[in-house]
Amino acid sequence: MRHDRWRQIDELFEAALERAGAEERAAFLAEACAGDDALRREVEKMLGFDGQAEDFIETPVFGVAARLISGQFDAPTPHAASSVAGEKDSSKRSPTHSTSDSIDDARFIPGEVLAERYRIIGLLGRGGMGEVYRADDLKLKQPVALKFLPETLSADGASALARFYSEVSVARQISHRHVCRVYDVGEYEGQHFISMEFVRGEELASLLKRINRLPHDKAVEVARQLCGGLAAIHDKGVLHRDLKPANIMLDERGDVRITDFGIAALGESLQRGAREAAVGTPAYMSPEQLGGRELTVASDIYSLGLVLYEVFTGKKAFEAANLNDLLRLRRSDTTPTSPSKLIADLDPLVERVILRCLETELSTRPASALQVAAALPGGNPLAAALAAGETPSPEMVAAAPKQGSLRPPVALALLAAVIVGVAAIVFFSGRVTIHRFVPLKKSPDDLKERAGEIARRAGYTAPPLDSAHGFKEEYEYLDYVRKHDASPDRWEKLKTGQPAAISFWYRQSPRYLEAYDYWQIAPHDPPNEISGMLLVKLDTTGRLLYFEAAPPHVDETSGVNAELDANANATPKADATPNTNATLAGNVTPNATVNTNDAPDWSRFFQEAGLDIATFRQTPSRWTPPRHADARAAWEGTYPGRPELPLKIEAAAYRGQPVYFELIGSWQRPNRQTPLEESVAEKTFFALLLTFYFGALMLAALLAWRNLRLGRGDRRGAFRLALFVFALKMIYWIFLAHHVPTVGEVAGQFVGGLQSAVYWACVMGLMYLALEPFLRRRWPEWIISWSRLLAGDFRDPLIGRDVLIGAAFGICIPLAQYAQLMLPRLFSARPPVLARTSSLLPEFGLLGMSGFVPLLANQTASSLMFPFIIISVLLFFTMVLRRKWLGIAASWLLFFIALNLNFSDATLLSVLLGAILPTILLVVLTRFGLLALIATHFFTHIFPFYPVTTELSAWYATSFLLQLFVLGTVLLYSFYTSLAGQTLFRGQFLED
Amino acid sequence: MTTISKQEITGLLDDWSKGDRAALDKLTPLVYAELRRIARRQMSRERDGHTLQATALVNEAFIRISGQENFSWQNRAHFYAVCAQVMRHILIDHARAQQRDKRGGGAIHVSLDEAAVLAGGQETDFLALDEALRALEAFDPQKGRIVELRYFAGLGIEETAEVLHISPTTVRREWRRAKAWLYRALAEGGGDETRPLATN
Repeated sequence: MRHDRWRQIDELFEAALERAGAEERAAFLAEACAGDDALRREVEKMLGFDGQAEDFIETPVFGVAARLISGQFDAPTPHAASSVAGEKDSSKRSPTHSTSDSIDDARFIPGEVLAERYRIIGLLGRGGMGEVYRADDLKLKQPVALKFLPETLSADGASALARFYSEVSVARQISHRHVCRVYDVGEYEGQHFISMEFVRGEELASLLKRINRLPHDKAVEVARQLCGGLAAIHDKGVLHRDLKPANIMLDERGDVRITDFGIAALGESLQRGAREAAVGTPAYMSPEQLGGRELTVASDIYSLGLVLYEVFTGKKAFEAANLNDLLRLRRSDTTPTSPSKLIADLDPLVERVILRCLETELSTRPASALQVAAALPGGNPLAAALAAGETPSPEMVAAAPKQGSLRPPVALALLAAVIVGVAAIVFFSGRVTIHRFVPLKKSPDDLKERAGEIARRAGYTAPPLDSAHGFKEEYEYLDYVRKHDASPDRWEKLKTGQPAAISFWYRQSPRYLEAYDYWQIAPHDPPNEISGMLLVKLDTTGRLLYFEAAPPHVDETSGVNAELDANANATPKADATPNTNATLAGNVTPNATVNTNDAPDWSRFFQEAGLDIATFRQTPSRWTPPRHADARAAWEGTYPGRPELPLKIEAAAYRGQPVYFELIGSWQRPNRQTPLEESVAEKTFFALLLTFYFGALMLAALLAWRNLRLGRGDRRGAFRLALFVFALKMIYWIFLAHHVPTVGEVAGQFVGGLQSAVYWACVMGLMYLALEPFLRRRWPEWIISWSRLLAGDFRDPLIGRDVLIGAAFGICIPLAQYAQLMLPRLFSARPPVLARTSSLLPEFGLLGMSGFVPLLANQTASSLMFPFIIISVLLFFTMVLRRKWLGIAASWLLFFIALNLNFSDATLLSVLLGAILPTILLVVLTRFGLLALIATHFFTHIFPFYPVTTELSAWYATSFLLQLFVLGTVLLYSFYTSLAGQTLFRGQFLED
Repeated sequence: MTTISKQEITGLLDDWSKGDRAALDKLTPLVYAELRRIARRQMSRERDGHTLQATALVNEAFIRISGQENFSWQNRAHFYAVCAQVMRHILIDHARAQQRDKRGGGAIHVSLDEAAVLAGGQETDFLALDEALRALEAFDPQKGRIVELRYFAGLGIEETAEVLHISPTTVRREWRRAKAWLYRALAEGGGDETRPLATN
């Protein structure tokens, strides 16, 4: 019927309605239609319908619509724009026609070729979004499924389309055996579609309908595959949002394929504004999805739990006669019947993981699908991932089902071994460490006071503004003893403290001391050039070794000085004019020795040095003083009680005030004039070291960049680690730097400290980004406990186990070093050997808490970095040699050579003992992993980095005791966690 | 809620009233989300079967979206119209999904009957009604808009008249005839598979 005809009818209909009675109407119509019987019949028909339609559509359906959008029904959300599109092309195709499922009604008929590429085979079904066809990809000659999207998409304009493409591009990246692949997008006659893998098989939903529940083994397999697939989806940041048995296919081999992932999200994004639309099916929705709250991975985990429930029990967790009941059920607090009540012999592991997935509280659900898999009986997604040639994610590594608890006897034995090891290290320290021979009775404070006293006696009475002090190992003397004294009691002689094997230095200054090179003040950094600066060195019993003072910059008695200079110019070695000022007097004799009448009383200095000036004879001075002086003196003799050790003493004064006094043993070299002694080998070594260092840094940066670009790097882990190292290095700086209230503190010191901390944080982060992905790919079992620690799972038994084992090995290393020092003497008449302990000495002056904290910070930081050096070498060799065992062997050889370089007098025994260290490092890494190696390195620090001693009341024992406390705490905690709650002496012991 | 500002909404409503379809596309998600939010809140308070105060709901949505209670009546009228369209499509899409799933089987879905029960015992084939309404709109757009506002947005005679700038009498007359037309279309249009047409 044409529209004008309709309008005509309507007008007459309206007019007729205005006439009240039936007869009046009939009369009106007869006249108005004027012989057009058809027209008249139409109007009469309308009048008839008018009578019937009185209540028709009088009740608005607004409420129904409101209920629909409020999510009370499982309604697909509307595509408002479909109205527009629908109206536009309603002539072409009425949308209502497409709702029939028979192929006759389908939009495309079999044989039709779309986009010159896909030949339609048939209609597979209609999903929540649109029709799905099976088709052949004519280009690639493989079957595909084409899923059509609502027409609204094109009507939504470019932005919706862009969003659609971006979502598909993410979905396309998901490649997993148990996820149905998304191939491409296409458009045909304005209809957008996704082409995806065609999976031949059966929906899990229909399989469950057919056979009720799956047999246990098959169910576990399906569950694990589901977890793997879902994890792969989550890994790309996609949520499934509609996980249910109808969206899970079992292919021809019975393998799981998850379909429609993210498509739900896609659909949602198409809903234009309805951000939290309830797209799922109420029976499989998580509580937060029902509540319309934001969805997370945990929501998919909940749905996974519901699917697993059904897979294992054959019953839906939530079932109701109709939707309203179902909604009411889901909205109530009802929890599903325990699976074990339905299936009596259900594995308790399965029940536990299902119920954990179904926790209402999001945080108590398993954090990832992989954790679900790991909790399943015999689940090991890590092994599966490796077998599939994939790089597991850090989360996957952390979720590996490796159980770490130790049997109590083993844990106890390890604990005991560490304690016995530490006891042995302490007990034997008296034989191998220098600080146990040198008398260290006087505390740094005593020595400081003594140094100040010497300075005051020498006439330097002005109170200093700033001061610093420290200890130093007199390695020149120790080397001399090693070379020249082969007696069995050679180290016993150190006990007199003279000559000094360890010296104490003290300096004071009228200005704030600001080091040039580093934040720590050293004896000659900053140089002692400011007038009034003093440097005093003492042996550990307080005897003077060295004295140096900076004379005034400008001479106050200038007239006399000019005369003196004139004389000096005329005859360089001429007599200086006798000075009238007695206190400043100082004559320079032609042979450059001091005129003792006017010179300071050097015998006092001899006394301060514990020497008797009468036993020395005066000689011409040959060693020039470090600062300007106008009088010099020198003596020669021997050390008291050591006639075989010659001793030279040099002194100098300026205007009668001592500016220099030094005890010079025959081992002492004139450092200010000796040229830099560097052999070709050393030069080459340093050149190689530099090349290697910068090469390694560059390589690390490149690898890190590559790993980041490929999305392999563990950004979060690297960031945390770098931040931690940064904090440690800042603590180190705060405690160790010599802080002064000057501009330099802010401009130089702080920036320097910050730079150093940032540098080490960057090195750590780069190393981690560069190396960790390789580890994760090749040997993920090495970093399971580490990944858990990084994830904050501190109470994991595996962490305790690895730390405990690492500690036991760590303690073996100092013991091996002890053995290396002590054992050779048992088999041959060799003089005893002492360990070098120089690395501990700069910190010696900072004992107590403020000295311990930076030591501990450094110990921790280096323990974190050190294993990565080992790992980089091992990775390098393994990649070059292409065999793991060859890589290990080559690394071992390298470490062995590098660590035993300084053993020139090697014996078979010392070589054997030297082999222990590289062996331990590699065994710990390859057998117990990264965390154990970190623990090994951490525990190794006790010697020689801390002053091990049996004299626990000695002033220097504080940092050692604090270290023992830290090690003990770590040890007991790891012992406790490694037991995982087992009782110690009774009950069932779990196998490792 | 969205990046569209209040001013833009006014503009969009104006544009739409001038026949700009793109403006409706932009408005719809806003309106939809707001209706949904309010409806959900009301639902959570009220028991099944409770009749929603349609006008109150739409008004609230409008106030929330526009942010001004003294919005011009002109705009309010357009807004009602947008709401009516949104509601209409919600129902139609739902009905289509129902029809699909009846054939697809499997998942639990609400049937139209259930929806109808909740709506007050009325049974209506929305799809057929929608088709009939389209036909009606084709030859008499005003009747179409009246039906949309009255039936889908729940507006009363007076409100409808105000929105459409016509007299209440006209609305009443047009509404009566529109009902007859639609009733006829449903009664006849089904052909051999005659659809159940229901009055009370």
